[in-house]
Amino acid sequence: MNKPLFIIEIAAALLIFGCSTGDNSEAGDMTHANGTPVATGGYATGPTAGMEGQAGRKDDAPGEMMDGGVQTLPPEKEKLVDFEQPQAGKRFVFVVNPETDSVFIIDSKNFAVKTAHPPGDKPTFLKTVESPTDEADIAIVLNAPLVAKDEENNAAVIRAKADEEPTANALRVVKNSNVIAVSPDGRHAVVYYNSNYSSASDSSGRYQDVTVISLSKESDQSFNITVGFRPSAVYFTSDGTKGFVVTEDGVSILDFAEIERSGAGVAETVSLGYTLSERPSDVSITADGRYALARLQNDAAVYLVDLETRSIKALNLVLKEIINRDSDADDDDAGVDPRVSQGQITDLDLAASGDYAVAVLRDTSEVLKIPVPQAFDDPSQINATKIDGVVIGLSELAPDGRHALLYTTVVPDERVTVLDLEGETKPQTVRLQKSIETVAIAPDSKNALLIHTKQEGWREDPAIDENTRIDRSYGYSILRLADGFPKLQVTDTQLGPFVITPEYLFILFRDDALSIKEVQRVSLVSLQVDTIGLKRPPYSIGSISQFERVFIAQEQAGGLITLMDWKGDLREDISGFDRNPKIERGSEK
Amino acid sequence: MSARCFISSVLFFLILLAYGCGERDDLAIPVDLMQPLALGPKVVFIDKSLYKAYLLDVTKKEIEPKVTAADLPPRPLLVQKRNQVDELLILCAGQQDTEGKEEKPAALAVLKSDGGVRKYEIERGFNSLIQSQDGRYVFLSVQGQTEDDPTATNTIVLPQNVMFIDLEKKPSDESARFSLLLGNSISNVPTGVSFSPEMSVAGKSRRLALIQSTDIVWLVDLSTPDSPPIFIQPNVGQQFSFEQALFDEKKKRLFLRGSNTDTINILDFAEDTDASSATDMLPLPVLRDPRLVAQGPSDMALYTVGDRTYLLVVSNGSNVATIIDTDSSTVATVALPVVANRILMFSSTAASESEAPSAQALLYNHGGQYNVVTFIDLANIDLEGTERLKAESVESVYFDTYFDQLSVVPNGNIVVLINTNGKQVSLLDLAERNVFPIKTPSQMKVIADSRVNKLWFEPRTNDQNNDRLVYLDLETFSSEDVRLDSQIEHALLVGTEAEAQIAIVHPSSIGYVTVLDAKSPSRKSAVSVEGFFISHVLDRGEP
Repeated sequence: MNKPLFIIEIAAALLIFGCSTGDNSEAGDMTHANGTPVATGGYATGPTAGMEGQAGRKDDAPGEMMDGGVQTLPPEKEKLVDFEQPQAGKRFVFVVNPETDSVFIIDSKNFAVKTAHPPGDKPTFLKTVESPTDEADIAIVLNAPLVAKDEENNAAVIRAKADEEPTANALRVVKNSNVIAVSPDGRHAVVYYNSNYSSASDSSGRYQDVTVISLSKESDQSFNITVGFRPSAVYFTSDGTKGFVVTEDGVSILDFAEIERSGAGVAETVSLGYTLSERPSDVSITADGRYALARLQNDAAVYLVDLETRSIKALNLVLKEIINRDSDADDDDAGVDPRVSQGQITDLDLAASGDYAVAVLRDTSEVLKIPVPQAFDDPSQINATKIDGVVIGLSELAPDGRHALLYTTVVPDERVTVLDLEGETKPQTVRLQKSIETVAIAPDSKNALLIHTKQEGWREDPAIDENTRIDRSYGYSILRLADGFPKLQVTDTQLGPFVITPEYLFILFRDDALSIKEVQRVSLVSLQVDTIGLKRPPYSIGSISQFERVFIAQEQAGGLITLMDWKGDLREDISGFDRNPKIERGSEK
Repeated sequence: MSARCFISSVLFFLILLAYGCGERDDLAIPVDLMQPLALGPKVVFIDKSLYKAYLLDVTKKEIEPKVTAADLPPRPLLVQKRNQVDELLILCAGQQDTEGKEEKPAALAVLKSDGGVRKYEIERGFNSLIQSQDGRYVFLSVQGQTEDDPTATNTIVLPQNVMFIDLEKKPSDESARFSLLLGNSISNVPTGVSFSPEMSVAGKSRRLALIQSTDIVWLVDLSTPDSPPIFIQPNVGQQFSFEQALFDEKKKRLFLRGSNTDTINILDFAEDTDASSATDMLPLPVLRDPRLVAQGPSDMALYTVGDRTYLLVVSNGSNVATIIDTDSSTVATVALPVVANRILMFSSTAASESEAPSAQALLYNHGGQYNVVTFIDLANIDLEGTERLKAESVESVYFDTYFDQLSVVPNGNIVVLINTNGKQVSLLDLAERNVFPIKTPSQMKVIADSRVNKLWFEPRTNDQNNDRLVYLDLETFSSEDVRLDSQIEHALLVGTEAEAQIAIVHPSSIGYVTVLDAKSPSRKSAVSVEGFFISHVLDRGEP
């Protein structure tokens, strides 16, 4: 199973400007890149704006009082992944223009621009596909939800190649689709409507349909498949042969070969075993597609579902013992563990390899490394590490699986703990200068970007001291995982989207009120920060791997994209590609 | 110097006395002269107040101190030499019907070297004139309005109103001129025009004009003036500030450059898809995908290699040049040592008779302060991109001093690079790419004279010692000067290639010109003529 990684292109859209925090909902998992919605490219500056992609399912009520009057901490908050447009393929940058029903394709090598006119109205959502078998850059584009009158030609597959005119193959997909998930082999995509990602009050009314797109340069095809209720995320096996749609009814399995043979149909949906009163969270699928892993909200239970045999195993991670689900399966209160007060899981992450999962028990300051599936038969294989004196509620696994970062978002704790998951070194708690809002680890697993919270209050108040001034500022830290060395960078406004290249981290900053429009280039070697001014307010950044360039899209009539090499030395501004031409005959003389 | 001084001081005072007593129109001493111009063998002075043109023939062996006067329509505003034809174009504002004055229409007067004038009546209010490169068409428009603008009358002037005149047609021919009202928006106010060469579109040979405004262009078929113009807006809602248009008559394409966009827009007539092609009407062009170029495109030029046509673009905001294969979407960039905002196209000399001259470009910065130009051998450019660009295709030449202007010697292989604030110019041999720095005694205007392969240096009137005409022989690279009897106000190239002369106009209210043989200028052979305006007055007084 391919758990989506923080590859460079995906990191391009890791955060949206000004997005607020979400609960531990399924879609809030930062690693659900392949199943992430594509946003319309709007720029959000308010503290709660840009949250179209936030999952609507709320977790526990914050700060609830437990029996005995002991106040518990509110739930942890993990940041949301979101995509911003435009997006880059291997060579081309794709920019949609709903107003002119066009997709502009910019060649990052020589700045040539081509225009594709996908069928239908208002192409809005776009996702690039890296296909190992197709030398063309591929993008799937969906027309705007609630605009398309029917399902005829409401999506297209665009292919762009050097020295050839782009092609746009029309497809019909589930009406109002707003999510595109692409398999790791680039051969299939799953398109569906997720109301959590839409601000519109209307919906398609088709809460149990997804469209499977079979990508082939000879003939693209689409198949409508019935799945469980309200799909919220999609996973794929690492070989791309199967897809898994997380729904409220369980995990619906998409066998692409079978779908291409049989056409439209009903996907087999495997229950995760929880009851009507239980609320699963952090659902993930192992790399080989064999197991689904989920935890229950407000609970110490973790479920492992064998997607082949349908067998379900459960562990109580507080007690480190197997839960016998059969004994109380019919009880109304089956999901309510009387021992919940002993602790609950606040985060559950599956390693990219699928070999183990990491769970965080905030109440007991424990981190558990859970071998999958072995620990579900033998809980003694669980390796528990207690982090004394630190509040930890969330974990973030490095792509190489070697380290995990442990932190909390619910108290202003200015610390982060680096945990060596191989146990060769002791956990290292690092003192920071600001508390953490969210964390991202670079693809090479060497550095982490810690985005800090900003405390209320005027930071220029002459009555406050330096530390308070720092707390009242926006900022981020780069943390070296090898030795835990952090470097703080205070900023004038909140961080925008960022992209990580092998040597540099590029972060966008924008604040229209303060006239801030810049990109900060952070050397991942020296940790030095350079600020590069931009012409216009930026809204999107991405990386073009083939020519080692970063693109930054900025708001300007006619379009403006700045291309710079991965070192940020060479810059080219290109504009005017986004146009709405008008040619007509004038009146008689 | 064998100067001929025609007038004595006594006579001069008598004339002045007569002038003071008589009617001004009857005793016509020029009082408000525009800058003189050369017209074939003659020097022409135009009086804005008396509405007359005075022609002085300076090529005769014995120059008569006498001018021929030609009547012009009232209130001449501006004068231009007609391109490719020995005629002057004089835009006249006309005269309103006011107390004691008869109404006379505005007109474009075309003055021939024999003094003949033909007048094309035009609508009132035009104050700008642009001609086609071949001098056939004239475009008239309204550009701003200053306090002392003679057109500031009670007439309502619509800045969207424009007029074309076909100078190959007689003024009596109704089809010789037509006007257009370009919409009713301020964005329709024209800022310029470009004329196409002869282009075959939809089965008909046509001349097109592209009227530019801030965000719109109007395409006018001059060959079928009755057909409505075509309105083109490359991006609705965005100001493009069009600056330049190029025409590829073979491929039937138009290339549009604006200062407010980093794209080159391409209009294509190759596909005659419009139903109007069944008639003479100009079909609607297809707007191709724009070509992105480096920031702030400032100049562009078309060239061909084999059967392919390329567009070379330089930019104000980036030290790269962009080359676009107009037949495909291929675009390549060429790194330059500094920003270049102008292009000079030229052809290299063929190495052998079997080889055709290859397209070359000289890129330079106009108005800036740079001491480098860059040559690009366009025939050898590999459009696969800068990574594979052949190094030998690009060569930069550095100068000892900065320059901000470049002047080309017509039909020559020499360009002159000028530092307008200093006293130095540099000559650049395009073939050998050698540089010859030259120091001048003062700040001077350079006049390239391909007839005799010389550069003339016209001193500024406020310079000391500006009675010396300095020139440089481009064959020997020797510099000489000729001392004249009076200050130099203007230097004009008159005569023909066989009898090339240079006429020096000196400051004088009664007219004072010195004529030199352009091939062998010398004080000894120079001829001066003075007082020819008074001669005219005396002639008019004779029965």
